[in-house]
Amino acid sequence: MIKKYKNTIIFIMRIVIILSLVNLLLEYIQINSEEKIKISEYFNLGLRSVYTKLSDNEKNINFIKIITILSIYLSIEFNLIKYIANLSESMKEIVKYHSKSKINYISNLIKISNMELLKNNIIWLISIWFLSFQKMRISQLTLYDAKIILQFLLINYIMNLILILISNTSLLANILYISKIFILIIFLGREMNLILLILIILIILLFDIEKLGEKIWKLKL
Amino acid sequence: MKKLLSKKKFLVIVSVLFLIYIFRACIEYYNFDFQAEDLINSDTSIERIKQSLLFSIFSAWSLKFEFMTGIGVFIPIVALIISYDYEKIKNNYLKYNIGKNNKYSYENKKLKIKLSILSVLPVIFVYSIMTIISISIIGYLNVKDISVGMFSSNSILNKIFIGDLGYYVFVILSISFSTLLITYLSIVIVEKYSFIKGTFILLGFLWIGSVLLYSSPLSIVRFVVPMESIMGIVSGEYSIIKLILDKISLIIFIISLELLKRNELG
Repeated sequence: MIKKYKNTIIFIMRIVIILSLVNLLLEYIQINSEEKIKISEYFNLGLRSVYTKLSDNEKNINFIKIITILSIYLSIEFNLIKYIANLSESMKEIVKYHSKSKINYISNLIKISNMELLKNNIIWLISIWFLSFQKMRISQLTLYDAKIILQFLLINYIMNLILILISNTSLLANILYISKIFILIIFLGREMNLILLILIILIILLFDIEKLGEKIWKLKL
Repeated sequence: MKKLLSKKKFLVIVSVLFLIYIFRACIEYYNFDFQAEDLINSDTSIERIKQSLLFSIFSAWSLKFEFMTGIGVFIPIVALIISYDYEKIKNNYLKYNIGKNNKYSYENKKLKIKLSILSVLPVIFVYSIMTIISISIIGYLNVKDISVGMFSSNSILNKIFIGDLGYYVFVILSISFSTLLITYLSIVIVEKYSFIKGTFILLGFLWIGSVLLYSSPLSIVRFVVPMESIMGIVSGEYSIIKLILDKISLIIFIISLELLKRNELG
């Protein structure tokens, strides 16, 4: 009974935190309060940029904006990263034991993780939907906005999948997760380069799937 | 130290990445087009432009800015790596001491303090490398612009930390003590909730807690923001009270967790 209440309180708290963080990020994009912001601008200037616009031509790196972005990712993808950490600590070994080949192992991992990745994307969509409550500040959704959202969800999905495949301990999962956020920020507007990089990693993974994480882990300095 | 830090490669990788982040403006320097038409036609010589650009990249002011924007991410990662190591070593200590003696609790406390002190090393390493590179390129130590307003005019700290060296010593001491507290907090959280849960509690407390408190309209709340223990250097105006207030949220959290600790072996 207590656990049920505890979970409900945590769930409500999480929604409140996501709602406040998503709205807080708007402050860093919207210089002029009368100007409405497009969802695509929210993604490009907010979630995928460490810079804060000071005026039309000036921009500056803002520490609070960096931790706001990290906090948004952390509060939205909380369940997923917990899942990846748990998976890499123990479950991956079990999956490996029951797999016939490397490709079978990857497909099994994707199969069991798909549900969690899908849930993650739904939470992202709900968070974006939260933004639509701010009708005075957010302009109506256009086709271009929808394209940017889909592009973001797809890249995030692929990045999370790679994270699942590479990480072999909870520490590596956490460090790679924080790196993932910065990779997404760095590759702003260069999605093709990112896709190319992902393809290269996937090829390496296909040949040496279980050894990549182990190699990083056993690296001697 | 070698035995204690089994995951020191991660500390080295993270420190190097942080240094790359601080000096990323160097890439812009090498990509800068010095043969551009407007530069060639200008009255200022190219050498002078190059020198002023180098000076702006490696000046104490811009390096401090880059260091302070990255440190909020760097310190929690260092704390996580150290606490992961702690979790592994703690289990070994437990296995070794259980049933043989009652030294576990004492050894455990000693281990926590040792690891917390070790976490300061990467921060000092990055700060020292940054300062050495700055001095070797510019030629001298100049912190006059950034040390102004560091201490409150009536504060006793003004008389203790005098000059450029005093400023550096104060910054290193302040950030090191905050790192030590954050790592100790991370260890206590991991001890109570396991590494996976502990990670979220620590990052949630440091990042989400700071963002929400920074946006609070009450100015008094800003003093107890967890990240203010590190970021306080940016705003300056240090006095003994501000120095204590900055760290109070971390200290309260540590004490409350230590008091709430359950299932501890004697």
